[in-house]
Amino acid sequence: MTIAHSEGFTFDSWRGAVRPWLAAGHKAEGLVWQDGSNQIKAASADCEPNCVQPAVGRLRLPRVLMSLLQNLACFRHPSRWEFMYRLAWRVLYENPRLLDDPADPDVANAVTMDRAVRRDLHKMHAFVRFRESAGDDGTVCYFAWFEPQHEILRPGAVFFANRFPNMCWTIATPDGAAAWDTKAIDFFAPRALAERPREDINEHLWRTYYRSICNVARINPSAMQREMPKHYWNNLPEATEIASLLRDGAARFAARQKQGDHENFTAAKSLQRSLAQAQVPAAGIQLCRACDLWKHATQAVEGEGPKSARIMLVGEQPGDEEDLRGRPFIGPAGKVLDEAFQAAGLKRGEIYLTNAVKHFKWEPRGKRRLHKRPGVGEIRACNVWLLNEIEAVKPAVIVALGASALTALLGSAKTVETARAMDLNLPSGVPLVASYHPSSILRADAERSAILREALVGDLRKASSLLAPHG
Amino acid sequence: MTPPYRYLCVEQLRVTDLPKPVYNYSMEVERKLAILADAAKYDASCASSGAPKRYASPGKGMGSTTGMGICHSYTPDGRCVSLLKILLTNFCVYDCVYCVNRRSSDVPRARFNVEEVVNLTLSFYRRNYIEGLFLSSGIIRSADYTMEQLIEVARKLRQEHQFAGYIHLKTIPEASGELIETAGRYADRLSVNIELPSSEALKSLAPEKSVQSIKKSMASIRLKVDESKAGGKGAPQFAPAGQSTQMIIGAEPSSDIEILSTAVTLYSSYNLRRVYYSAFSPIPHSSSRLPNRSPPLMREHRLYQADWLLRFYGFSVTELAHSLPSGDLNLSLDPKTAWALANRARFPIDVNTEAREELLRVPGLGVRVIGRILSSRRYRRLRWQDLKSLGATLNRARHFIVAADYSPKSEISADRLNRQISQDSQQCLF
Repeated sequence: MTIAHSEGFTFDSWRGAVRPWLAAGHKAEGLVWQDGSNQIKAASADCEPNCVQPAVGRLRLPRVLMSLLQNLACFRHPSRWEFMYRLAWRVLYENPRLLDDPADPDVANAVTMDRAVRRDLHKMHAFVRFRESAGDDGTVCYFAWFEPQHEILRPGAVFFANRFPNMCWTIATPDGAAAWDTKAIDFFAPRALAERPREDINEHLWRTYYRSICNVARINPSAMQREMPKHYWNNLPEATEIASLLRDGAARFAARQKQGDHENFTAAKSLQRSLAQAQVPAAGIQLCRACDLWKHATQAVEGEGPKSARIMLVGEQPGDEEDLRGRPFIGPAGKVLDEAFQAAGLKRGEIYLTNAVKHFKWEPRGKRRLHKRPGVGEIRACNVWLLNEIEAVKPAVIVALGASALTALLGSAKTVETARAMDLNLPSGVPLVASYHPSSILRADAERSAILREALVGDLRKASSLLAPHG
Repeated sequence: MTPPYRYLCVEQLRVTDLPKPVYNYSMEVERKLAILADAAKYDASCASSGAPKRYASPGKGMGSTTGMGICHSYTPDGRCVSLLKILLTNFCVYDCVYCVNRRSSDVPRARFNVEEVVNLTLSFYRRNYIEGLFLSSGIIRSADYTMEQLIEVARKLRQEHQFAGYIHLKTIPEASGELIETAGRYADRLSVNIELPSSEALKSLAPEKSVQSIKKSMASIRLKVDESKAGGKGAPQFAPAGQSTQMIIGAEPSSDIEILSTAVTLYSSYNLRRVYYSAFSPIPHSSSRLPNRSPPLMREHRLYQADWLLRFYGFSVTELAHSLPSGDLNLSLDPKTAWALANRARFPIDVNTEAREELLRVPGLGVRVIGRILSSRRYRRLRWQDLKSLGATLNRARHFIVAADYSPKSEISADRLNRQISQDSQQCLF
């Protein structure tokens, strides 16, 4: 049988023409593709010359195949229609998952063709250059001449209709022209191209920009040509600058290097004012370099709460969110703590909250930052800041959350369990209550988490009861 | 309105029928454009990707973003021109040694007004020269004043001209939180440059800048992006294409491993879309503290390769550091091959059986090729020829893989392999 005239097809007319044959399951090899008309006729050895077209049955193609075929239809090669038929037939009757196997020769070909078409479309979106001109009636219109590698005018024009919906534009190509009148795209058959609008004055500005944005110290023409092959240069106004940039640019750079005017830069035009004085970074803790944690943290997170607070709560170190926002206990652990406060009859606003270590210590895990326990060295290095806070707030009781806080406050390592069982005081005599860190409550399984939560609430109550004798 | 060029398809068309061009530019604008584009060319970023799908509405405005960036041109330096990348002004009160616009630099100065930038952006966009605007500025008067000017350009484009193209605004680290908030409403992308890999370097070369405030503004941008995303569709948009930064390479002695670990810190702390590495180009009238040599382009290239390994190939800085005794990347060998040579015991890897994580470690196999391998091997045992048609770079991969009909020569010594690969890759370079 015969499927006639491949060149006259568009994707839609091809689809209409092949559908009956495809639905009937005729093999691609049995078809003869013939120039001349847009119709399909049967003409093969096992079929009468005027064999009736098979009736169209239900024909469904996977969506991926449809969009692939749409691109292949643009590929500028006479046998593409036949190839598309074979591909569709193989998916329908041989292997519905054929496209998942890119090592299959047909699929490999299709992938290559598809990529070429998509690249060409992308280049059309990039390299079409409009020229502006005004008609006698004052309407402004835009014209572009573009020479695509493949027959992509139709799909390509849609992009411009979306991008410039309120402009009247025409894109002419050797395959025909597309014109947008702010409502619909009209396509015109190719004819000899008449005169194009004369140069748009913005092309001059654009060339100026192109020359100035090029860094002549980095000349790399092959990288340029890989992405902007020469065959596009004809219709790019900036391409006129390439030769001179390559020539003069290299020379100018060499001259500058030779010149060695290195040292004698003038400060004559310098502006006297500097922001340096106006914006001294917060001194003190933000500039602390006693250990290396600052390097990978955003900022030091200081304690927060009234200077007159009776209870001071010391945690381990700021977490991810605390590091970003610069406030202690505002992440998930902070929420656990808030609940515990409530259960213990305390108010967050009355308590001074701080950490043993002021910078966030972490290690990268995928795209996240994973909390890492601070070492004794880091806890020691940071101790001065904690002692400063204790000195300033003079709390009546301190609650240490977790082992790091205990290390910081007592100078020796103790587990929370042992510390909870003891009556502890700071060397200054301030009573110390040990408890679990809210993060460990979050990490524990449901059963243990409930126990730890209760312990935390109990310890907070205990701390608050220690206040009582003082009023 | 009818499209005025319909008659272009008619064969007999006389020149006199053509509409006359519209002239609307001044020499002054051209002079400023030359100065302020030249001043912006040291910023490596020109990406226009990551913006949500967006189209100008019929009746007003223009522009579209598809998520995928478009490079509208390439200059002879091989870099893409996607956005109109300019400074609002190159006057600056800072004196960063590495910067061509520092206050002690003897370069011609210029300043655009807001209207000029808006008009340039629109007329370039309308002609399809650009995807949008990347606006930065020297610091004039104060950080807040400068930021307000940048925002005003973006506001005019978005509100008065219904411009739906891409906008990237440079963020001044010391600018107030409210200004950053406003900037993110109009811009697709915000960026704060970290400038140099270590805070010591920054302190000595850019005394008025502080790592503190740079990191803090990155943190606040990250938090706002997160909030806007968590808010769902109804929430006000904030920099939907996220934030990026730039590090200058080779202006001071930081090692590649230090540079990469700074990059990892920035990626994981602030969710950056990109860290750009910009090989230091000698600038006119520069300080004697800076190198006066061609920019280290190969080093920059290797850093980008390593950056990709960290982000998409499951490598960690520590692993890379183990394969680099000097702390610097090997300029004649790509970092993946260098790592593979240092870890030969893990190879060869069977492309027909090994998991994705293992395949990602093989030199010459990229993410896309590995995707095809995994898909294809469900239907066949892959042979040498199959790998070729799937797009693998077999010249490099051949030492490290086993296929159905192929395995590497086992007796080849580490030394010889090293030499052979180095030669191969040197040949690729020229």
